[in-house]
Amino acid sequence: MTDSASASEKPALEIAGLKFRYAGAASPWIVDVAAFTLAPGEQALVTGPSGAGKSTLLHLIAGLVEPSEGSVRVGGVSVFDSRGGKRDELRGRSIGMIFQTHQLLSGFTAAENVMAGMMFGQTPRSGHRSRAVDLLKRLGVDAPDRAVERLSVGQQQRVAVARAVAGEPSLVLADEPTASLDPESAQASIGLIQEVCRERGAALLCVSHDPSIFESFDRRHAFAELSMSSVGAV
Amino acid sequence: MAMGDGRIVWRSLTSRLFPTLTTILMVAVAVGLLVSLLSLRESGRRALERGVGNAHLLVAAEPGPMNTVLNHLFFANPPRAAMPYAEYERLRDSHPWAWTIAMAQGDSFRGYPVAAVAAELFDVYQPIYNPQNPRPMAMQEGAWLAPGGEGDFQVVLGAEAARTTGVRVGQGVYLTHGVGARAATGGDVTDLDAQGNPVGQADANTDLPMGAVGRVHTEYVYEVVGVLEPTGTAFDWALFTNLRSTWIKHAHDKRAARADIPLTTYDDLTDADRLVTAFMGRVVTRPGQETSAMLPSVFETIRREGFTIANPGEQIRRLLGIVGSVDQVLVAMAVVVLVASAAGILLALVSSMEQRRRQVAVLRVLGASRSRIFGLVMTESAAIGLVGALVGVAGAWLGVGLISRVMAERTGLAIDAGVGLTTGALVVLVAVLISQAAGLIPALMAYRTSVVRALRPIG
Repeated sequence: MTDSASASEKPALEIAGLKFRYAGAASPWIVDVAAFTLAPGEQALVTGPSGAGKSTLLHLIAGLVEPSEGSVRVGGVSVFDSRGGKRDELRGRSIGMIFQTHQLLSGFTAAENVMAGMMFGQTPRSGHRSRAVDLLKRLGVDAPDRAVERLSVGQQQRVAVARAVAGEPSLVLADEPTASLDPESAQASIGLIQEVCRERGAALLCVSHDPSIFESFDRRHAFAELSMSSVGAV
Repeated sequence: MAMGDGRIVWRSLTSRLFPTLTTILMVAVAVGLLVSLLSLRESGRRALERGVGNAHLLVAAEPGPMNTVLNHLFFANPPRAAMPYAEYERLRDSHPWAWTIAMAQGDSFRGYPVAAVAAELFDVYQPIYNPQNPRPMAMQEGAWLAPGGEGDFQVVLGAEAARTTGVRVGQGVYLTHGVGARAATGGDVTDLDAQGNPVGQADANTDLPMGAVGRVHTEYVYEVVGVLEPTGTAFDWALFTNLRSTWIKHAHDKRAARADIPLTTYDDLTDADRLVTAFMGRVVTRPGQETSAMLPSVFETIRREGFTIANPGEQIRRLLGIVGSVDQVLVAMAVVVLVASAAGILLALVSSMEQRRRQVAVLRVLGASRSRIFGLVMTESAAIGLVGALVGVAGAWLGVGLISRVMAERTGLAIDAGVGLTTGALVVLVAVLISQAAGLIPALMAYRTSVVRALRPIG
């Protein structure tokens, strides 16, 4: 068995005893996950009402917020064992993120946005442009050099999806990706995200309060129940 | 091409094109102003010092020693007073001069000053004087003024005067009386036949009365016999004739104003016609010495007689002292403008940071470290400073060239066009450093951007 093969067998995401609340506050835990595992390429949906702490969970997994307790491992690597630039490097290499409002870099072209997704990862720089253009074409964006502001909302979302998977991450985090879409568009949109992650072998953890996409996932968890027991399978 | 920090900086700057260009323009103006002032100050100083030449003294009838130096060595203005040539001869013969050169100025050709001089000027006078490296005047083309009467109505052109007017050796030119607004700009050049007579009729303005400022002396044509090598002094912009022909044509002006008479010749001249505006001289020195113990007494004796007498080097040092305090104020103002432009960079970047927190947050999510974000903003401010500074230096280079040309044409002060490499590089470096200092606050703002807060959906 090769090293890469053994790495790929490690869970895409492992969460253990992860807790978060704002420092100094005597408030209840905003995030309380006893244990959660996501196998490589697996897709799961975490549901819950707005303001429940779903986005905070994703920020914790991405290492953007320090937890009060617990650990997160992505592809077998502990997120919180590293700090500063090392943690940013891990995020750039292993995690892709998709947001409700796409969060594209304005003033940049579609291809540049996708290349930005590879910029801080480990893919060789010489292939960035061709990879970005191919990926955009695969997702139906035929104007890679057009400024993202000049693309339709649907095309912008495709650019955001392409950016999230461009760096070949082991884990894609999707934060309310369909919140502003009608049910039909939401289905199409989540279908696209799932398909692309599947093609790339990336695990997908989606958080959403949108019931129209619940049926798209075989594995679903209510955010509130994550604190009660260990969930997930390797 | 792969996405890199340079592309991010470029996009950040070009997506806010108007504020970016405005800020660059502010830096460019400040740098341009500073570089221009520094360059003009330095090259102006050099030009003045260089143009002093190897004369110890300059004696004139017009008041003011500085006037005398500026008017006769730098051709700033036509002199306003003259002295009889006989007086010059008396002063020449009564002091221990190594050489003296009498001069009469006042005429012009297309605005360029004409100096009537003794033909020996070219043998003894060195506009740029360096005892270790003597540089006598040299001829680029043609011949020197012939001595005595043979040099009558011959003219030698300074290098720049020849270049800018396009007049060639062998052509004939008509000189203008004084330097007036109506100085001729056309019809004042003619080809000459084998006997030196003009071919065709000069059609320069002749509607002014004889002797009026701006009237062209169409009665006498001057043959261009030579063009001097460039000297880097005001002499490059002047024309040189002999004294005799100047006396003849001005005597004719006076005579013809009274009656219709034939052309005046040298034999018609009286002592009243033979005038000079100044003479310069060098006192005898011991071999290897630059000055003479007799110089103060010669100076004092001539001054007591009521003449204006000037030591050119001393007058130029005084002038530089006066100008120096003024240009220090100007340089200080330019530095203030540069600091103000840095404040402009600070404001532009700080205001853009308010709009760019989301962009910074996205880059952080994609894997950019805080220090890299800090570096990107610092690079932006440095880029604004660098581009602005380079534009400013380029503008200054063009501006200094233009200014030096205008100054040379209007005042005869031959300033080296161009910005010194050291000056330019130093100012660019300072501008970039100031820009970096201005970029520190916005870079820290970017460094400290809260990713979670910046990524919250709007509304």
